[in-house]
Amino acid sequence: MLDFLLQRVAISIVTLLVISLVVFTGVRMIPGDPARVMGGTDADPAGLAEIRAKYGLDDPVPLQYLRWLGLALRGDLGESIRTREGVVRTVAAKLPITIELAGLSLVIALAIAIPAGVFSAVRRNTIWDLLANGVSLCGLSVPSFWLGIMLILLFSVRLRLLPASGFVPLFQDPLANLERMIMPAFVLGAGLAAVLMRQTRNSMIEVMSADYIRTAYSKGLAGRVVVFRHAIRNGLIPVVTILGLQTGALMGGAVVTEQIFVVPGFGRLIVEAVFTRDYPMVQGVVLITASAYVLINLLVDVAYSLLNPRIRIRGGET
Amino acid sequence: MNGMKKALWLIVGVLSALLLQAGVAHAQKKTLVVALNQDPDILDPTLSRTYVGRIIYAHMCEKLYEIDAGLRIVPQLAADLPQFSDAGKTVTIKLRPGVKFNDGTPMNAEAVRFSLDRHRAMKGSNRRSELDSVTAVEVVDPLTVRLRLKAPFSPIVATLADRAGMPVSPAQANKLGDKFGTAPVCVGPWSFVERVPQDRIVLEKSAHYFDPGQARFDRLVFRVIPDDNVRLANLRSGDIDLMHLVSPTDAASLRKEGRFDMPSVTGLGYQGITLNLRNKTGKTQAPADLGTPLANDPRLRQALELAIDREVLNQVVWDGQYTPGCTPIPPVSPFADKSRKCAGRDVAKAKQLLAAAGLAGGYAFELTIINDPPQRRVGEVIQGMAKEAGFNITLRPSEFASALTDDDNGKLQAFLIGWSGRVDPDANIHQFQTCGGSLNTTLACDEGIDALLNKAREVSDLGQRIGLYREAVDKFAGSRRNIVYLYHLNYIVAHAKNLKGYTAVPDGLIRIKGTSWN
Amino acid sequence: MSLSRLQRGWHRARRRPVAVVGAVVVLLFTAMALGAPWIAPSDPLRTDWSKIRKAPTWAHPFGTDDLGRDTFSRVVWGTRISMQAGVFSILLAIAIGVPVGLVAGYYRGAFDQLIMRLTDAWLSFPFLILAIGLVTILGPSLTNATVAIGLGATPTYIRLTRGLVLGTQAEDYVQGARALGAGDGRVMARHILPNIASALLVQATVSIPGAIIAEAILSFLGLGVQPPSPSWGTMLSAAQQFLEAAPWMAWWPGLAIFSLTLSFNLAGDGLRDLLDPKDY
Repeated sequence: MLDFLLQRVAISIVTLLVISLVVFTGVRMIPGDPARVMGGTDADPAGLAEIRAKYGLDDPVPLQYLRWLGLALRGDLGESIRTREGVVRTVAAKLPITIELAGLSLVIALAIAIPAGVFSAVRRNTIWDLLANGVSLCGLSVPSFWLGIMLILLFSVRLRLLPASGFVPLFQDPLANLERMIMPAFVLGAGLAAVLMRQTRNSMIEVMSADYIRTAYSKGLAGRVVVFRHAIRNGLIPVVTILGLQTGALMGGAVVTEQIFVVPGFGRLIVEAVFTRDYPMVQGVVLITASAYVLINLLVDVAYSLLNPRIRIRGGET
Repeated sequence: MNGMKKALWLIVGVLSALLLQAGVAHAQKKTLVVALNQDPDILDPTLSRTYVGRIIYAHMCEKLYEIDAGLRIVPQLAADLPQFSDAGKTVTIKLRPGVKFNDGTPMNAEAVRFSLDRHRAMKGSNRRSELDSVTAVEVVDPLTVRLRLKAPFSPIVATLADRAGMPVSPAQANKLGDKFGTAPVCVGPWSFVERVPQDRIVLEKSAHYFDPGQARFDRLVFRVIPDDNVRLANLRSGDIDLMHLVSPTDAASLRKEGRFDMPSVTGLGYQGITLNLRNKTGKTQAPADLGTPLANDPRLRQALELAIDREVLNQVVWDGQYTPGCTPIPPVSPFADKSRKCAGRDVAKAKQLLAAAGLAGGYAFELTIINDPPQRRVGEVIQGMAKEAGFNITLRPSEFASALTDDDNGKLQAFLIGWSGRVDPDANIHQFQTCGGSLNTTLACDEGIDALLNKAREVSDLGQRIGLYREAVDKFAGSRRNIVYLYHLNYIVAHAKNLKGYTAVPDGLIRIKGTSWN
Repeated sequence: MSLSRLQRGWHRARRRPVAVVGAVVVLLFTAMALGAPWIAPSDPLRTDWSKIRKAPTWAHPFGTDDLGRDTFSRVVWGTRISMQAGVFSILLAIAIGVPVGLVAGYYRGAFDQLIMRLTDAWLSFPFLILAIGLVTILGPSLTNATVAIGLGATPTYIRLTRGLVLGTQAEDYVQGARALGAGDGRVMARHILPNIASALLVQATVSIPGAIIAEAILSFLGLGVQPPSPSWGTMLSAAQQFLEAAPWMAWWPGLAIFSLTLSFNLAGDGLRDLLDPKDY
């Protein structure tokens, strides 16, 4: 078990190094000069030169990378070229917002997907199954930005039930916070719910046709007991895996959702950073996102190997 | 029984939460929420560059001079308009007495000298070129400052009516250095409280402002909402009280609703097509022949201008809410040449010019546009209009950052871009149109034009300056056409009807000072 | 694939009329994409300054857009762009992903480990950020958007192929072919590939609608198709500014994206049933 863990951790670190290198060079390949962006149409060549010097933008890229990596290892990701706030500080302010959004959408997705998936697996090929499938297919097919716009039109512009956007910190006013987060969380959760529901249904169907479930039935156990006590536990294992894989998608989805609903989270931070060529910010944000993703997958791997010890033997292959 | 008790407690809890909620709502009346379309950059008057940043400064960082709705320059922290002496090379400024920074330290001649020197010398300062003409700042007495200029420069007063004329608290600036922008302290009716990047900037009523009656709100909250629809939805739902930049295409329907006051004012800047003439390898390099008819044959550029119908462009793209124009000076300016008429559309003549240039079969070129929906629409309308005259325009949308760099480096043939504008026409013209001008990316160069524009800097008589600018505009906009001027933006603001005393100034900035609930 | 399996599949398909409807709608959209010049009543690029943002009429059943162009014609032509972006990007992903996954899964070892770490890194980028970054590097255009989407989808195919290959290693037909002395190339091409093809096909029908949406998002952000070409995404981004004044500008392209992706998903489900030997 320890070997397995160490191996996974080592692999994760290598992955992160690769990512940081790619981002570092990638962001510098995007045409446009961060100093020039700050200037807008209004630029002073001497001022630009100073900005470039201050942030070491004229040094060779490998040197810039090593310097950045050295500081990053000590937990210092530099400061934003645009706002001069520390990258770590800015991210620390933004991350909880996106985590709340992602968490909320995860809750929404699971609350819809698991019951619907189990239900339609149990009532396979009934009208309910068809309906649940139809709804989940719609969830998969509807473009999130479109769904977002339509929700704003309906609930904010027409019905005036919910504020169209904005953000109130959770601890300042939980009610107002929820009011503003519910639409973006739903939009973000809709696609995920569809994916999870389908996965739940499929794996439940598979499990339900397994021998031990048939045995359980044949022993005369009631349907509900079989489903809840035996089938769900095993049926949800693949769902956990999918969940891990979907974290990246959730982060990507947050980019669009936060744009539409103007949630001042991670997603908007990164888009703005890319568009303003705020190198330190892009690097920092991507590194942190990637770390989160790698960490979550590591946890999923570990959880999975605990749930199913056979995996461990094939350690590292997955 | 136990469950009953729990339920009761729950109800009490929810009720008190609701009451608290109502209390908060009531208290909010003392707060004014303003929505901006962009997040400002660093809030340091020396370093900042963005336009929206100036809206924040209008409330917490006052300047030596201010402009009024008629674009006249009036004293703000200065006691009076400056005295020019020494043939225009010495400027003496008297300061308003009894003014304190928002940290309670005095705003005096020493603080002004400190601030102007900071603008002039700090690393990365964006005020440096604005204060280029200043050679020294001297303290005469605690309430008098004297500026020494290299040469007579009449636009200096307008310069001091913007960020270059903002005194910052020396105590705070010494403490925070180039991080001053994280907790700025200046003179203003409100002072900085906090900033959540990409979300909000909060100001509160200052305890030290010299005219506290002007600040009728305890708090100002500036919220950043980039999307036009979302900003509008927030206005309608009452989440914000005042909205900056109503999109022209929403303006008509919002006016019809009649729920909001919507002042609209023509801005100081201009929008147009910049046509590269000689910039082959970069604006700091020597001019070179581009070898294209568009760059070398003025008839083509005239044909392009004649192909465009400014009125229709304004109607189609902006619902007629902006102001068509063919010069860099907006009609609101006292410098505007009232007698000038823009050339109308004339497709036949445009075709003739193309034929005369030996291009009767048509001419193709690439027009770079900033990649956002309204700019794309302007590009598409121009594309459509120019096609009828025989131009085949390929639109190349580019992101703001890349486009500006490409423009500097001479990689663009034609660029749809504008200038946010300044009070003094010099700042709208000189740096774009003179040989070696810092923003002259087309590398157009004509000594005759330079002479006129330089002269306009030296004289301070309004009538004389109007005449000089008329002559210069005839030359660069009427025949050289390195920039084809198309229209001026209007700043449209919408606010709740019960907000009284709001005045729109052509610089488009929002000024809450002096307004109040009815 | 034996005849009887096809027949069984057909019976299953008949039991799922929804999937058939999906497939038919996909075919209809394909026909619309191919036949756009004949189906669209007018030139999708022709502007008419006198007919700006007009509500639907008989002459313009979907109304006109912000430049007076016929929205119906633009939706029809937009099909071409969406289909092109959706199909070509996934073809690209398959063209790169399948060979790489095949080799990685077949030979294992260091190359496999390297590829897996790379796909890990790849997948940890939020897809949209990757696409935005790529398109800003390459410059916005339909081709570049397609490439960006294709590259974004590639790791999925690498992982899927590799997983499928691992699964076949133990199968009799692979062991048998090896025992008969078939070379690696031959085993991969003649024995493994045909056996994993159906799973890849199913994955493709699931990825194409995702790619279509991705193209719409990129075009919506102005990073895809360039004006004046009609794309559903650019139409939506123009429409977004007129949601109240001219909602029809937003309805039709949105509805088109939705119905095309939905049909793809329905057809994909049907196809999975058709090709999946497991009988559920």
